[in-house]
Amino acid sequence: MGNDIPMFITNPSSHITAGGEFLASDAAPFKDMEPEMTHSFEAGIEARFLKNRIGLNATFYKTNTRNQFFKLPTLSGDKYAYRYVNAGNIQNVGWEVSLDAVPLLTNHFKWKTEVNFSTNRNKIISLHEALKEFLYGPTSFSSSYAMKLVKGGSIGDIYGKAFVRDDAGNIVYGTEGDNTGMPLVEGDGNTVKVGNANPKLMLGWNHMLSYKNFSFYFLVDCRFGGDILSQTQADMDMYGVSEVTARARDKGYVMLEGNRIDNVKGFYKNVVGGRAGVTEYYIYDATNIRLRELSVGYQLPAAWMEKTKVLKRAQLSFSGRNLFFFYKKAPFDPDLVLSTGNDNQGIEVYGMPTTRSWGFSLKCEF
Amino acid sequence: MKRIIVLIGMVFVFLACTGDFKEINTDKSGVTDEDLQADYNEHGIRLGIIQQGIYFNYDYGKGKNWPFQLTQNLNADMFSGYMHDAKPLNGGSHNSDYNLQDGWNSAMWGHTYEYVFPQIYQSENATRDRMPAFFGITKILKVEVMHRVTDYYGPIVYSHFADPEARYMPDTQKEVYSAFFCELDTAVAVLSDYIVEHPGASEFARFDMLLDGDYDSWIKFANSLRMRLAMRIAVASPEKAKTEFRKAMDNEYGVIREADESVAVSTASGYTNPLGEINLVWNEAYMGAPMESILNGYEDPRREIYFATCQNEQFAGEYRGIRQGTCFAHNYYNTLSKLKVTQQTDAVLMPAAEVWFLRAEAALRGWTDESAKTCYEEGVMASFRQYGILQSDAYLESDLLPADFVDTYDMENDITARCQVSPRWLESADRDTKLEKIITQKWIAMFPEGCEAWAEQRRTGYPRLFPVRFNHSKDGCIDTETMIRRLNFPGGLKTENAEQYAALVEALGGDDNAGSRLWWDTGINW
Repeated sequence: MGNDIPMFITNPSSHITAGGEFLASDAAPFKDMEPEMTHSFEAGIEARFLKNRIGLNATFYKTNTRNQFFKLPTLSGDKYAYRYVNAGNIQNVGWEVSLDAVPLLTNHFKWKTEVNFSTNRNKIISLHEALKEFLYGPTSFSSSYAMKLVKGGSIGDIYGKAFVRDDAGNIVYGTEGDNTGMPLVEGDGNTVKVGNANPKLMLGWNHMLSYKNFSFYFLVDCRFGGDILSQTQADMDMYGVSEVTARARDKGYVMLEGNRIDNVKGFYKNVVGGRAGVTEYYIYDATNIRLRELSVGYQLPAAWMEKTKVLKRAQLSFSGRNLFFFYKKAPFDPDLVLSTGNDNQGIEVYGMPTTRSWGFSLKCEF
Repeated sequence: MKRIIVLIGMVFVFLACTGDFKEINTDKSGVTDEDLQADYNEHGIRLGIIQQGIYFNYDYGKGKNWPFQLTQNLNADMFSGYMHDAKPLNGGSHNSDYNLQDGWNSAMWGHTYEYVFPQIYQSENATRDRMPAFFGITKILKVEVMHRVTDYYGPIVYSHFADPEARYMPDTQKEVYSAFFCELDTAVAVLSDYIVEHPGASEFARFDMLLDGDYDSWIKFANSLRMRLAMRIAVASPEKAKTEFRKAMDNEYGVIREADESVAVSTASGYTNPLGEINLVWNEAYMGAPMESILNGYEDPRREIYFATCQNEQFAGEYRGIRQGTCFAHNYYNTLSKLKVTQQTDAVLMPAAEVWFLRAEAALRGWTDESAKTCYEEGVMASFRQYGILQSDAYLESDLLPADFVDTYDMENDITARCQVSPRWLESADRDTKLEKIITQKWIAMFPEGCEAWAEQRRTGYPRLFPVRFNHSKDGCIDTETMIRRLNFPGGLKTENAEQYAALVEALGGDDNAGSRLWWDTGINW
């Protein structure tokens, strides 16, 4: 099975745009097209024990997508700006497990719980011989952020600028002119890998407790691993309007991995800050545990229902979503990315905060 | 029997399928090469894209104007001292204070190789045997497009373009300039032959955005361009420079002389001047401090043609500019002098005045028997006439000197005038002073074409510009007084094509940073 490819790519033509201008075709005709192939292996188990009190559903999968369709920017000097290729071998291996149980069950009381977790390991086994790397999104944009596919790497790899480090891993500092005492930076053109946006493990755990007519439900969502770049923080630091920069100004210095830098303004404004600053410095671990959902319900007594003669059942409930974090490392909600675009999965730029919502509902059955 | 019918049926199905395939696989909303064969459109449209790709404002599907801001306006237009943005982009620290932005600096390279050179290559192949006049014009445009690229970076991919066998290896700048002169030889030869064989022909007139459509005019442009390139290598390769300059001078079709022969991208047929959009709509192009210093000091009559007066009452009627490299982080400068360029202003690539100043310098170098003074004064007059100013006598007798720069909001940015020559030609002056006068006047006349102005400023050191106040170049690679010498190659090349990148750096013969001098940038003038 494979994905659709656009029409006419074996015979591309130029167009006249709505404004009457001539838009020349910029891609080479795709002469040696091959079908995209996905080979997948999947094994699973579904089992229930102790009179359905415990259930297990587990799946292991391994998929290899070969000959994926790419529109590639060409090398400088090529007579076309883009070429189409079928290339690569991208592998996904992972587990999806869900476990449910009813640990307590009496006449009036029931506790039901369910935990789901999933992992996925992605690896780019090969790309294309002429293609060392595939860049998502536009070039020519002065941002220290790029998402690239590189052989041996994986989807979601974030590239940008990083501090220059010696063999022991210590940051190297400048010794001349204005750069004296400032960390040295490398990676112009976003050439250094600084993280990966994808989580190592996702886990959701819900509980449903009911006693007579009352019910209580909550869901805890956990995300372990994955990185995200905050350009909001980078930008605010550059302008000196973040809390971090205020503290540094008051103290008169910044600490960077144990090294004291006295030129606070220079550090934030000219070295690390801004959208073209040091990517590495603004990469946050996206690990977080949150109370995703909580609800309390009450089912009105059956005796009342009979009196109405119309209603069969009525339930009052009160629920809230995104209530709080038990734990998070980033100074913002790391699940909040710039957009759903492939290239924007590891970056946050002035995102709207996640909203907490409260709701009240009355459900009637007739 | 039934099986045979099925088989026959299948044969028909397959035949029908392949028979219609070409038709089905043709985009009906598109324009095919066959559609374009009428009226030389197949050649003319490509050449239209190339002409829009010099002072880049060709819409390749991602909108206009912003590519130009990156390719030219935030680079050469600023480094030449012509302009500065009034907005504190990136918090006030960017190319202005040599905190070079790779995304900006790679734009000239990327846009040219993706959208312009492929059209040049196709045009060369399509016209070589079938339409020699268009072939000649393609060659001239190729040189005009690509000299701006090599003058930014140094070595470029040129002779091995579209040559995967040679793995798109680059040429040194010396090799590229040699190739330029050969391309111009070809262009002049085929156009001269064509004119003799087809007197009065003007097939290109309909597609001509730069000149009047006459093939004679294109030969004049080729000759003038040869002068420009010859002068660029005056010190790097003096014999070649003199030979090429003389070749241009002696060609029977001559060079550009009159103000109305200036080469400019016309906005009459769809092309819009990107600088006009950046100036009027985005409010991101203002007078540079060196322009303020020199035009105000000279009381130059072109000042009111190039720039508007300040928009706030306090400085009403004054012309005030912005100094490069001050790292300002406020918007106070946005009431200072804006440009007067609009979206409909033709984008000047080579004013007639430039050619006179090239001749003045050639005379000064002893390459010709002309009078440097005469050529210099002709240059000033041609520039004045270009803008409808008829009186130039007083200006040519003027001993006024450039004014000190006084910043409107921050006295820390004040600086005394660097340029110390006046408009009046002095026959008794030494050759350095004479050269400084010629190039300073050429710089004023070239406005707002920053690419050529910046290249000549780097070659000669004139006009003397103000150094940056803050220098945030990477690892101090740019010296504050020596100033920026080039743009580094696009950072992405290091990983996308490491072999090509290594070859580019080797061809550069120095470190790939903005402090390295290009081949023609020798640091001396004689």
